[in-house]
Amino acid sequence: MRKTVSVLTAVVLTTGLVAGCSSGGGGGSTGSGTDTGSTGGSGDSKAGRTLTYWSPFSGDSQKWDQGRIEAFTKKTGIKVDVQFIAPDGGLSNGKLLAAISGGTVPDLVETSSPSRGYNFATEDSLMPWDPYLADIGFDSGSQALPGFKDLMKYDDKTYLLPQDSNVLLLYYNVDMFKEAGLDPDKPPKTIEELDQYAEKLTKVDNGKIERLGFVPWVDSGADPFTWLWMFGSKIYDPATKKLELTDDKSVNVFKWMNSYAQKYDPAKLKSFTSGFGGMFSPDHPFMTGKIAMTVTGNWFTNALKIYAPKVNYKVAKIPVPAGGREGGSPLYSNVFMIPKGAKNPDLAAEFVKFALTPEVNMDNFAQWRSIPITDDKFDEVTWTKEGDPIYKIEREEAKSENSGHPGLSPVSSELSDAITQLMDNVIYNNKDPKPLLQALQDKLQAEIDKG
Amino acid sequence: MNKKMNIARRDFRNAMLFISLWIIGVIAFKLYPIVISFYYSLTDYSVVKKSEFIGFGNYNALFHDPLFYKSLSNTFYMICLGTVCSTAAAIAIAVLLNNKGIKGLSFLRVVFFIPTLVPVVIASILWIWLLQPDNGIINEVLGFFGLTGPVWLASPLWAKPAFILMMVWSSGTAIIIYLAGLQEIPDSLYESASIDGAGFFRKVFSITLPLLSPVILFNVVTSVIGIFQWFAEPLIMTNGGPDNSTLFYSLNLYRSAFQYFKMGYASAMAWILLVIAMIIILILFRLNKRFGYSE
Repeated sequence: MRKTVSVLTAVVLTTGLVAGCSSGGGGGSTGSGTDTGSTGGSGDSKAGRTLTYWSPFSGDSQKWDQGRIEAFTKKTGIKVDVQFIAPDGGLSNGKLLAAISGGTVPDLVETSSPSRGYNFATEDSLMPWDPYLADIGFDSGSQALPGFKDLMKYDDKTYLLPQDSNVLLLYYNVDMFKEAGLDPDKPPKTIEELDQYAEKLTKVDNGKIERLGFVPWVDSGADPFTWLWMFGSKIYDPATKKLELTDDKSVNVFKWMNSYAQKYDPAKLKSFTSGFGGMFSPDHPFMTGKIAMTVTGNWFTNALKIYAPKVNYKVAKIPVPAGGREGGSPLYSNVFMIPKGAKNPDLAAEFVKFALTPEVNMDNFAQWRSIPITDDKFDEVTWTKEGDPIYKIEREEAKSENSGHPGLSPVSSELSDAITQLMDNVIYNNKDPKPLLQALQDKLQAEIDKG
Repeated sequence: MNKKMNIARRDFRNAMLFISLWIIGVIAFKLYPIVISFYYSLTDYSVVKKSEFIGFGNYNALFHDPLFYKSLSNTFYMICLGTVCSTAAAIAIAVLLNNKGIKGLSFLRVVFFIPTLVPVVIASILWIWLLQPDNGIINEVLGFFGLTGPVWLASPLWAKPAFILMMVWSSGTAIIIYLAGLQEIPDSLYESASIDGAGFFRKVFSITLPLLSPVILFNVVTSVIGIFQWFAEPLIMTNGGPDNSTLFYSLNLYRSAFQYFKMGYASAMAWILLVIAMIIILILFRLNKRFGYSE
């Protein structure tokens, strides 16, 4: 009897667990299956169906996105099951990869990291937007500004659809310029001028740094591709599928950076810059007067307004050396993508169509001074209507043939980490960048060639 | 005899049935992933695309990858220096906390244990502030003694020692285990040593440490395994920098797997890690057998 009871108990427990597992998993799939099935059967009406959406936003931007989602549901009747996955919609932390391999993918992902998004496209992990472009109001991206075309297309298909973008600017402190005898209406245009100005603006007292005119790797200068782009490096040629990191333009970037490290002693410089607060804090070095010039995005204008309204500053286009991408800027875009295996790509398209309407994006433009991806939409932005001088420079940069998304390649993620590491290696160890760049190029080119 | 055998067999079968849930769990969620990860380590696998068998290509590539050696040497640095420092500090603190003459002993024991209750992310952000070169409390304290503190996380030389400091700070669990071990040592041994004229240090080295050796072994083994898995802190605090000085093995593995789509390569790294960890732990057991105390 005892034997029978114990055997029965064990069997019941085991089958209970197995059944529990399978009914849990099956329940999920049946649920979504029914959902899709019933709406699929109900004809072309999308109302009542649910879009699963991963958003990269947090903080104020998350609130803004939540508002956008509510407005979308109100207008279309499509429900949105949203997950906020900072900082880039689950691309860098492996969430999206796990979701795609597990088959439980969201219908729509927005990311603030287009180069990682591009990597997903090259890995055949995304669905193309092409069947929906006409409906969204996009004619294969032909209206988009020139800087967006490389980003949107891979293998002649459109995988990434930009929502909005940002450009980089040189922010400089007017009072410090005057104090150093420089004309605030004549910001540096070339790297040589930038170096001269930086020297004049730097204050060192008894070997202790009081103020730095400029440090190439503070703020957006620390992004691996910023200076490579501005110095005119091709980085990667999609036509030949070759990395191009060893030309003089690329090598000079690191030599120039190292000149700052050697002039002020890398450890001292690092000590001075490492104490800096983040972009959105009153501790930012530009706000506290520890640094006189910095290269960062248009969003910084809003940060200055909030945290340091008394700082007297102006902005200019980023200085470049001869042969550099004059008047241009790396573009920092937020892009939409449909992961492979998404069940409701039509709903994703509906959401994007809604998100790209000027009235939805207008808040975004007004608050962060971000930019639209087509030139005509600039006219509708408040800053343009008010004749804002900073926004005028942003528009010129955005329109420039010299603006674009740097480093887009099948190895974008690894390349960007490797360049950051190389930058450190040169600065800390006073290394010659050329052989390091050659070794890096050889290693990653082999991976690209493998396909 | 026969009946006894039957009872034993029946009990065994029943026991197996009762633990069958666990066995299913282990096979499905532990054994299968371990076995399949070895297979993937022999393939070129990006998760999304189909895997392609390449033999020992990943292992070969790893042995030619400077980053692999860099991350391995960083991890060994932490194992050698970090384990020694945190073990020495934890034993020293445990010995002090075992001294019944100290007032407020229970309170002090709580104080040393509290850091282990702080979630990793919060502790990491806290330590970024503590280690600030200009106004961080650690350099302020050093400055009070007339010393100029290093730039800690911003320096390739000092970033790892900064992590060791943090490791020592969070060794509360080890302290509690050492304390329990210390309380197992009979007072009579110390008393007879005192009668023979042994001083404090003589007692520590001739009684405390030998009798504590099984506990030390346990803590060192868990610490070594912990260092091989050391991930969240460097990811949050330095992201492997500066100059790769805090690119530890797990961080390097994570990047290959989830950021560079190189799951096969990462699987090979995981298997090498397993082998290295096993060798180190085997050496530790041997050392303990040779030098440690056993009843």
